[in-house]
Amino acid sequence: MTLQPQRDPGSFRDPSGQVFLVGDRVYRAIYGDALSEWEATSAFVGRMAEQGRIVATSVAPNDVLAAEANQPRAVLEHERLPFISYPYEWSFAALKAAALHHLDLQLEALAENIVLSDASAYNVQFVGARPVFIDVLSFRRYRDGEFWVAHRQFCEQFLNPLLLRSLLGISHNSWFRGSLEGITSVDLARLLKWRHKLSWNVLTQVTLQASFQRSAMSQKGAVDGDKIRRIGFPKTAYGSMLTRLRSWIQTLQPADGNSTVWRDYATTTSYNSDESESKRAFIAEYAAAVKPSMLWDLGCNTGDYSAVALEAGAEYVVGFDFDQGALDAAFSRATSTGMRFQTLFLDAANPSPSQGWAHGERRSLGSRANASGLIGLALIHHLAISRNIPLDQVIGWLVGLAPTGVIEFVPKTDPMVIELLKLREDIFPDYGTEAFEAALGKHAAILRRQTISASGRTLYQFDRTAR
Amino acid sequence: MLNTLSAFLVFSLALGLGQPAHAYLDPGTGSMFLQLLLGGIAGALVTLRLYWAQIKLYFSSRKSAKTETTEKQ
Repeated sequence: MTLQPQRDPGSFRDPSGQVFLVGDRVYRAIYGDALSEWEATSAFVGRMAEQGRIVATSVAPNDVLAAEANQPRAVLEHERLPFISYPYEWSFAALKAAALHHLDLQLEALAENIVLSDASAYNVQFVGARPVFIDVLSFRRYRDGEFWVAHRQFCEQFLNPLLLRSLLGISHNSWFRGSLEGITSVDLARLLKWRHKLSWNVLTQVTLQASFQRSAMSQKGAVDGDKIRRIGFPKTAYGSMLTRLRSWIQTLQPADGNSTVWRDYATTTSYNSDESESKRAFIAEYAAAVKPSMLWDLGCNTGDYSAVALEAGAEYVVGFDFDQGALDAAFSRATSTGMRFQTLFLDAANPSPSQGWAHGERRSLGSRANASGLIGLALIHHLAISRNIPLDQVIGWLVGLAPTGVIEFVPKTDPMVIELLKLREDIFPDYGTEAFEAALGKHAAILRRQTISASGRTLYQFDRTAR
Repeated sequence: MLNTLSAFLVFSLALGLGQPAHAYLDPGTGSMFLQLLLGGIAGALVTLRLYWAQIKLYFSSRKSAKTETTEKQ
C-alpha cells in the first residue's frame, strides 16, 4: 500500500515550496524558479545542517510525491523533529534564543551573498533548548542594493514580543497567540513611555518605524515603491543593521526580574528532603520501566523531575509550565546541560487551539500530542481547585494525553491546598483520595501508589493500555 | 516631535521621489523608510570617518614635518 502525501496545512504562503507528510516522513516540494535559488543556496544550507543549525535535509526522489497533481521540480526530505511548537508557546528565553539564531544565520548567509526572504518565527523550532531553522527554501541569492525585506516581520515576530517583556514586563504569549503574525511596531509604540525612547535602538526600531508607518499610511498615494527600491540599501548597512539588532537583543532581559528569583529558587530549594527524594525515586523507577520516547512533564517548574526522568531512561521530555520565571530557568538549565528537554508555556485550562487560516495553520496542542509517557506533579489541585475543573475531567484529560504516566494527588490536608481554599468557600466536597482513585481507576489501571509526604501527597503510576 | 520629524522625512522623500504612483501602500513602508534612514546614516558615518582620517592625516603630517624641522635646527 502506498501512502498518500498529506499537505501540511500550515505551509501555503510561499509559492516556492510546500511541505508534505508521507506516513511519518517529512518532504518539501520545490516548484518553479525556486529550484535555481535552492541550487544556489544548498551548499550553505548543507553546512548549517551539519552544524545542527538548520534541520537535516537530503534530496529525495521526485516520485515520493507522484500522487500530487502539481508536480514539483525537486523534492527534499527533512529529518522529523521531536515536537513542533509555536512562538506563543515559548518563554522569553526561548524566543530570544530563536531571534539570535535567526540573526546569526542571516549574518553568515549575507557574508556568502545569501539572504532570508522572510523572518517568520514559526520557521524556528527547538530540539531541547537548541533552535533549529526549518524552512530551507527561505534562503535565496542576495540582490545588489536590496532592502532587508523581512525586517518588519522580524520586528513583529521576534523583537517586539521580546521588548514587551523586557521594557514593560508583560509576557508575549497571550498577545502572540491572539495575533499570529506577532506584535506590530505601531501597537508597541503606543505602550512605550518617554524613558524607553531614550534608547537609540528603541527610538529607531520601534518609535521611528511606527511613525514612518503611520505617516506613510496617512499620506495616501505619496510613496513610489519602485523609486525607494531604486535608492537601495547598501550591503554594509544591511549587515550592520543585523549586527546591531543582534547585540541589542543579546542584552534584553525580562523587566519583571522573575527569572532571577526562580533561578535562586532552583538552587536554594532543598532537594534532599524525604519528600523530593521519594518523588525522584518514584519518577526514576517509572522512567526506567517504561523508557518513554516522548515524555510530557506538565507543571515542570525548573525541570528537576524532567532531568530525573531523562537520566533514568526517558529519551526526550517536553516540559510545560504556567510560570514564566520557571520556564526561563528551565530553558537555561536545558541550554547549559544540553539535555533533551524542551520547555513550553501552557495554561492547562486553556491549551493552544487549532487556529490561523482555515483553522489548520497552527495546530492545537491536543492534535500534536505524541507523548508515550506523562508526569503531572503538584498539578491536580491547580486545575481542580483553582480553576474549578471537575476532578474526573482533569484526570480524563491527563490520561488521554499519554498511555502511561505518573500523577500526584495533593489532598485537602496539604498546606498548598489549604492556602488555595483560605479565601474562598470550599465547594469541592468530593475532592479527596477516594474520588481521585475512583476517577483514575475508571480511565486507566493503577499500577502502584506511594504516599510521599506527611500531608498525604500521593503518587500514582497508571497505564491506560493495561486495562 | 517624532511625528513631525517622520512626517517631514516621508514628505521630503515623497517629494524627492516625484509623482505618486501607487494608491496602495505596502504595509512594510515603515520598515523601508527606517532602512533608508539607517542606510543614509551609515553612509554619512563612512563619509565622516573618511574626512576624519584625512583631517588626522593632515595634522599628523604637519606635526611630523614640524618635528623634522625642529630636529634639523
